[in-house]
Amino acid sequence: MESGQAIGLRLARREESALEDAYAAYGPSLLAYLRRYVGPDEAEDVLQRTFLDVWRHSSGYQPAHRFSTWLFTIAHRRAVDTLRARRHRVVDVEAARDLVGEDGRETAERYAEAAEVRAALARLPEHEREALELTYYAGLTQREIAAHLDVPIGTVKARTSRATRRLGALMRDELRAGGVA
Amino acid sequence: MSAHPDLLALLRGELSNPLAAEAGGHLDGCPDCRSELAELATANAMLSRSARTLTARPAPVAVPALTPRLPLRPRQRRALGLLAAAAAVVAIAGAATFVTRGSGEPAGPQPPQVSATLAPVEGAAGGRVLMTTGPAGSTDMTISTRDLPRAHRDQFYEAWLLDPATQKMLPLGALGPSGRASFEIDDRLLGRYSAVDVSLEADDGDPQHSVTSVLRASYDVQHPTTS
Repeated sequence: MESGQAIGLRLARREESALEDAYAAYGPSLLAYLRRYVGPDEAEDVLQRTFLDVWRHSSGYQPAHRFSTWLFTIAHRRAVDTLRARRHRVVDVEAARDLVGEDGRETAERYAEAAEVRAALARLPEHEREALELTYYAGLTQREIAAHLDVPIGTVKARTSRATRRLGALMRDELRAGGVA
Repeated sequence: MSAHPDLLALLRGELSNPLAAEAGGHLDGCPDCRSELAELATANAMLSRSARTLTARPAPVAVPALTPRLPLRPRQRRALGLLAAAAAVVAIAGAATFVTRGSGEPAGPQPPQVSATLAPVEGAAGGRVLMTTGPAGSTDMTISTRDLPRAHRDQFYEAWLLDPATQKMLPLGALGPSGRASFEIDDRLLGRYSAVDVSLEADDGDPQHSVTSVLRASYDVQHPTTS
């Protein structure tokens, strides 16, 4: 799978397959973000609506913007709308306050960055991706991973080390493409 | 020079203190390891931050209000944190909440009782929660309070069941003007909570718990402590 920017450009050209790729690479992170605000029951719905918007506005994607930031801006807007629509039923002023304003933008940006790392991870060879996921997202030690995968600890160390280096390079490329580094 | 250390293990905090210190010493004299560490550190930082963000337990900041499960809004949780601190001070002062199995007499015809003292979250009020076996599969709970500050005209005191671990709350109902109320509660529901909470509520139509908890008592219907 290619970089976020590349997916964004294909979306801007109205390539439907780019929507699927965006969903595969960023969907889980977007869902984690939406759950935080609209709760687990509605998050899936809001995610669908977010991707409808992504498709609807895809021609507006500018490659000068980081793709993840663009996605999370749309998700953020959908989350705010969802809470607004709810206001008559529930007084959740606090949730709305947490979502809008400076804090809300910061949170969306932090999730966008987290999603970028997750998406870069998906571009690694399978063994390497697995090693990093177990290390960071499951919080296992190298010894625990060796036991879990039933491979020698030396193999785990080599894979993790290679994967970490490769991911660093991918992220640097991604950020350069986004005009950051 | 010592063997090159495991730099990933160092970054991930998987080395013992002596080994980490040894790795630090090695790095002082090994430019190759320093440059490798720099390379690994960038990705390690991004991965750690990503995992911390994406695996954070979602805060239930917004939930439909009409379900009986009412996680607190963040403002309330903060307030409860402060109130919990206040309650801890109260506990140290000797007004700790306790639970007793009633009367202590040999098993007689009377239904088993569980009682708990309502300790003030703040202020000087107090009270008792008395639970007796009710009709099939239920418990009769009587809450009596004393010295609660008079509620304003548009306010009232409300009793809740609370699970302190998850902050899940179940509204029981309003206390009467004398500060008392009785409820018949399904045992299965009662078992899912472990505390009774009394809050001051505004009569504003918002069914959620307000920020003001005034009394709290814990109970354990399965394992009452005998005293």
